Amino acid sequence: MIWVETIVNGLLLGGLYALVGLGLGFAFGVMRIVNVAQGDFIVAAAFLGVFLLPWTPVHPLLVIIPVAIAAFGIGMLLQWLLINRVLGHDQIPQILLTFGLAIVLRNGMVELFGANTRSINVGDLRFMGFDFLGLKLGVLPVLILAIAVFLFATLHLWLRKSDMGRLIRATADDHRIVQLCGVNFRSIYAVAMGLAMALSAVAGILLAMRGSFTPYSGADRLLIAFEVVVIGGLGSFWGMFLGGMVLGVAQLVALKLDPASGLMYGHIVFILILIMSPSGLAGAFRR
Amino acid sequence: MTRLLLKRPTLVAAAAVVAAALVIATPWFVAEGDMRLMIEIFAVFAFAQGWNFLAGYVGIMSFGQQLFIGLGAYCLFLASNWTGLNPFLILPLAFVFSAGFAAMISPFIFRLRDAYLAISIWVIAEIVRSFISQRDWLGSVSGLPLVATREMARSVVATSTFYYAGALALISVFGLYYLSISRLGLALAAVRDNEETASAIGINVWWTRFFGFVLGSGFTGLAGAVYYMSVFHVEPGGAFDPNWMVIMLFIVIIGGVGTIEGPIIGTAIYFLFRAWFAGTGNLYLMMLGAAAVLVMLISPSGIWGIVKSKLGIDLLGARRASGLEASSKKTRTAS
Amino acid sequence: MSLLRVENLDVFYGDFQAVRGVSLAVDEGRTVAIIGANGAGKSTLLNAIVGLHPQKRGKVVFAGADVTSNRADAIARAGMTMVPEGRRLFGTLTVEDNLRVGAAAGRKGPWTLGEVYRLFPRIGELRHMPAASLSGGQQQMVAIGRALMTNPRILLCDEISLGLAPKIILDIYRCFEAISATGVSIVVIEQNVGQACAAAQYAYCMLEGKVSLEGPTADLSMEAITAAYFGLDHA
Ligand SMILES: Nc1ncnc2c1ncn2[C@@H]1O[C@H](COP(=O)(O)OP(=O)(O)O)[C@@H](O)[C@H]1O
Ligand SMILES: [Mg+2]
Repeated sequence: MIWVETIVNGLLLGGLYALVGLGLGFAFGVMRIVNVAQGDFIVAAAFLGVFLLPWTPVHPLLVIIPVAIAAFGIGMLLQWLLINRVLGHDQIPQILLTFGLAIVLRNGMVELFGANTRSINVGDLRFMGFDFLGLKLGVLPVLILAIAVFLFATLHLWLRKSDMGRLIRATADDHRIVQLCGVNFRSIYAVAMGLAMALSAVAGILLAMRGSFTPYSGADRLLIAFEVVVIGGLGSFWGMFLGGMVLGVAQLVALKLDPASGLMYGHIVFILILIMSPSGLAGAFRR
Repeated sequence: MTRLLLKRPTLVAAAAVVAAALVIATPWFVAEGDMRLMIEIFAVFAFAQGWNFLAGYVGIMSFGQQLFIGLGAYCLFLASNWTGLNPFLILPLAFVFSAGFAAMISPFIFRLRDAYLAISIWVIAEIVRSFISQRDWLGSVSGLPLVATREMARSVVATSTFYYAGALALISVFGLYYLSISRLGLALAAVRDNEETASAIGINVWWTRFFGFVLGSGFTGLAGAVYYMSVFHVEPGGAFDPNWMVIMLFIVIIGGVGTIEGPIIGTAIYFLFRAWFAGTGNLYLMMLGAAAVLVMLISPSGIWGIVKSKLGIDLLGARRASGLEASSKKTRTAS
Repeated sequence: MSLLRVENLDVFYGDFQAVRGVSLAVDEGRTVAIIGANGAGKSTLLNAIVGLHPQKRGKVVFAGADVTSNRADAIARAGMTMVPEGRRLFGTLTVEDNLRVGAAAGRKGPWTLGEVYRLFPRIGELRHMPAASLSGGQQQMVAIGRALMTNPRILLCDEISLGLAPKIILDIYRCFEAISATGVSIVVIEQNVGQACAAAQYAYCMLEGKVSLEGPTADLSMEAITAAYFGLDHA
């Protein structure tokens, strides 16, 4: 039973990991851009959450809304002011630019907030639990999984049905040709990056509610996001969800066996999947 | 002009001889403390040139070259501590081991591209770091000393390490120059610039990239071994520290990726920066990051790229532009 | 005054010059053909005119405004768009979504989803299919429909007959009469001389990046065209 509980908890954590990967994967799917600073932006969002928490009415969980809105704006600005200037056939300038940004952001946060471990306090919610078919589950992890599923589904539907979603999909297919329809692909890119950042920010807040973070957590966050996207098969939407689940389960099972291992077994599972199926799990199923 | 170009390899050879003579003479004129700093400068320069070789000449971007720094160092320390052999004699082992490791992982990581390839090497570095941190026989988190050098005379150790570091620096400049005008160098350039065209003219793209990656990573491992030999102690947190990547990237980007001269300038700037701002901790790292961002926005080809285009000076450029320059032209023309 | 005027246009790929000093003019409501062999520089010329290719010298004047250095999306919103060579549909989108993206230009005019489906009834039946799953001829119709959805004042068509069966080419060209009837100017680019000249009132022939011959289609003899097309007087 303890193992079933571990696996179920892994799935709950996996939903959050999937959300961590969603922003990175979405940006890659639309623009072929990899924002290496995504992990550090996730941490910055958590700091913003800590800062806004005292002003949040009704329930601390609602702090995700102002943070997501701020992250959307910052993502648009990031794309307009920086990344759009180095776009091109070659990926190197864009990757190095965001790498530089990540370093500035990380060390800036250490400078401003110190290197202490923090978390976002959601009050009693953190300790509430319930019994489900004999399993003891936490309310917060289940709630977080629900939020993750909701965001995946909403993004999916919005991309299918809305006018902007259609333009984003068209731009992802061919950003050159979409200009012939009067669409400035740079604006679409800015919206897409805003969305990617908003999604990442939500993931960052939720991670900080479930666990803790320091200004140095960005690297781990980025690696998780990256592994989720690669396991999911680079841009496959629900593949990413699966990728998150695999990582979540692998990590919790490994921590039970070897409490000091941290993220190591998650990384190892990632490498194993890469060895067995180059196009990620989604690719393995397609074949 | 053409005659000058034809004669350039000979001129470079002469410069190499002069530089080597300077390195050989240095221990007679320089105090031991200054020699330590020079060892560090040479080693860091070699790290940077190893990354520059991969990014600018092979076309593989890696965010995990600290993996090979650590592997080279650990390989040398363990081999020497276990067998009792003189570390200066078994140094080539660090190259062989790092290169072998690179060869082993390339079939898998080459399935990914660009940023994904870059980060997958970082993931592997994290795995190796956690693995070592949890193994007592590998020294766990507190690391390993280099036992053999303790019994040797300090000045002998310093001088020998200095010669190795000097050799690394010379290879980083002149070795890279001759490599870039060799058949392999031209094949690498062709693959980096356009894989389809390269395979159309009969170059095996996969093997060329593989060979470049193995060579560059092996060299980084060798440099890592030399660096840690000079500090007598290696621990996983330091050897596999992602901040090594920050330093390498800063040096190469500032100076100019895909050029030999660029990282020389970058290394000089880095050590000056460090001397001036060493006390400021994070502020200094922030400035490294901000400088990288600025260079990407202003001139992706770095300081040497600006010098080359504004003044028309080109000392060791084997061919035309670096990958970055060529592609930033493309960027301007494509919309 | 001409709706579109190109003056002395040079277009480059890096150091290579693909278009050399081309001048041409298209009047409101007219159909003009640009013919030339493969590699003559036709697509490059068109890409430069609609703003997709920025490396150029010379002047492009559209509806009285100099648009030489405007971005492609601004030019499309001003009323000039192109059906690109090879169709270039948004493959993962449905037929109808492809057409709707065309409407994003936000121009008012006669062309709506209903009008496009009336022009090409076949693609109306396929409107919920992914564009990539259609046949070549059907894709070409969607590409033309997508361009029409921007309600252009001038439509540039790059080799729409390429790789299609003769009967389908005929069908598509018949539709140009209907399009032209709404007052849209049309530029057709073709390697297929007969087809293009039959549809157009005026023709330019391109050879190695230059205009080698031009005139009203009624006045151009087949021999003159053949000579200009293959560059026989150069040999
Ligand atoms: N992307 C490109 N880079 C370099 N040269 C090109 C490119 N595209 C086309 N060209 C060259 O430009 C010339 C004109 O090509 P193009 O405009 O496609 O001709 P056409 O459409 O008349 O067949 C050709 O010589 C072709 O090789
Ligand atoms: Mg063409």
